[in-house]
Amino acid sequence: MALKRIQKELIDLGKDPPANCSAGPIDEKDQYHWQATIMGPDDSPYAGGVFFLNIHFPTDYPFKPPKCNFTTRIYHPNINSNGSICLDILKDQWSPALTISKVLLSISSLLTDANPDDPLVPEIAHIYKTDRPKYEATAREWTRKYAM
Amino acid sequence: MQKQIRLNEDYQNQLRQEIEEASPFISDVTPVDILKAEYADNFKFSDCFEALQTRYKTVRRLRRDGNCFYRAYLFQTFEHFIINKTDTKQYLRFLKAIEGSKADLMALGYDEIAIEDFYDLFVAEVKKLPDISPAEAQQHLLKLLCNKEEAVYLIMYARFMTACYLKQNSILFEDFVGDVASFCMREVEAVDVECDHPQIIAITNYLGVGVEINSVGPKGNLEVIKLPEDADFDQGFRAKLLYVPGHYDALYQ
Repeated sequence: MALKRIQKELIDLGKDPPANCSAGPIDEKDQYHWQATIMGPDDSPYAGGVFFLNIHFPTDYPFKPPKCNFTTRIYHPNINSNGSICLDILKDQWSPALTISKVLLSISSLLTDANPDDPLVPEIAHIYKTDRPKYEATAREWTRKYAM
Repeated sequence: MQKQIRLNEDYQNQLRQEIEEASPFISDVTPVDILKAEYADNFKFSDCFEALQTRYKTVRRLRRDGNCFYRAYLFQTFEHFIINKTDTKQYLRFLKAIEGSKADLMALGYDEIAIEDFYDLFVAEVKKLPDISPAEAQQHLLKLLCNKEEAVYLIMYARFMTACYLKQNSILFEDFVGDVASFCMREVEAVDVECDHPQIIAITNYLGVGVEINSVGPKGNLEVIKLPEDADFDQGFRAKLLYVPGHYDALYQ
């Protein structure tokens, strides 16, 4: 059943792709392992960057959330240097009613609106809260360096 | 800290495994006396179980995995429609609610691809019920509702239908549960999360099959609650459940 659902989501992504995102299997033989891209949102310091993510679907998907992590380095309070993402719907707020399309949209809006009160990287969250221009400048610089 | 988290996870997995090994998803019917013996240490419960014995003869025990209410409710409801072939009025009401649920959920913003596998299976299984002979009811339902494949999908869809009613009638529930959408995400659609009164009111109203819940009252007496309370639901079948704090079992006369 998991595979059937994953294939449906792939077809749906092809028909109706979410804005600024794309995703699909890296190797046709392994449908549980995808790569996704998210374009840095225009109204964020990540604008102009292309960010790559790895997606692993568990064998009991959609009862467990997909594992998503950035493979492109990014300066963000909720994403650490391993690319791990701190996002509620990827953890305890996951619901089988969600799809990978919804997940990518949530990650994209996390780039526009970080959540510094639940940080994965406290140092970046501190700068985000106390010196927003410095945070934005660093995020833009990392975007130029790693995502363009 | 990572090590601590891993140890906690190991412990949780071990507990889960112990629960799985100790009890089936749904037991065979067992005499109700077994409860009295089981709760013998808790004198407060003894009067309650005495009284329960006058109302019910047997009980099916459910696994304590967070799905006991949904599993017991689906088991008794499906069983009723298999055994009572003449109750077409309530069956058709039930089938109609289920067939309309996909459109209802999509109107609330659910993606078709995220719910249709669940929906298709649920509708197919409900449509099969009239063709199953009463003699095969137990065997059929123990197979259908006690596994890690279909049963998981059927219970999940029961959760979606519960969320559907809560969201459609959010004005009735928000004073009790707060923001209904986040309540549904946390307490209804999350996998293996236990069921409480708002969820029971929602699913019974949505599907048109009520419940009668037998539980221990504040003075150790037997308390019988009907949900929904409306007399309309007394015209039809109500699932008969036993509630002890944190858990539901299915009762039989």
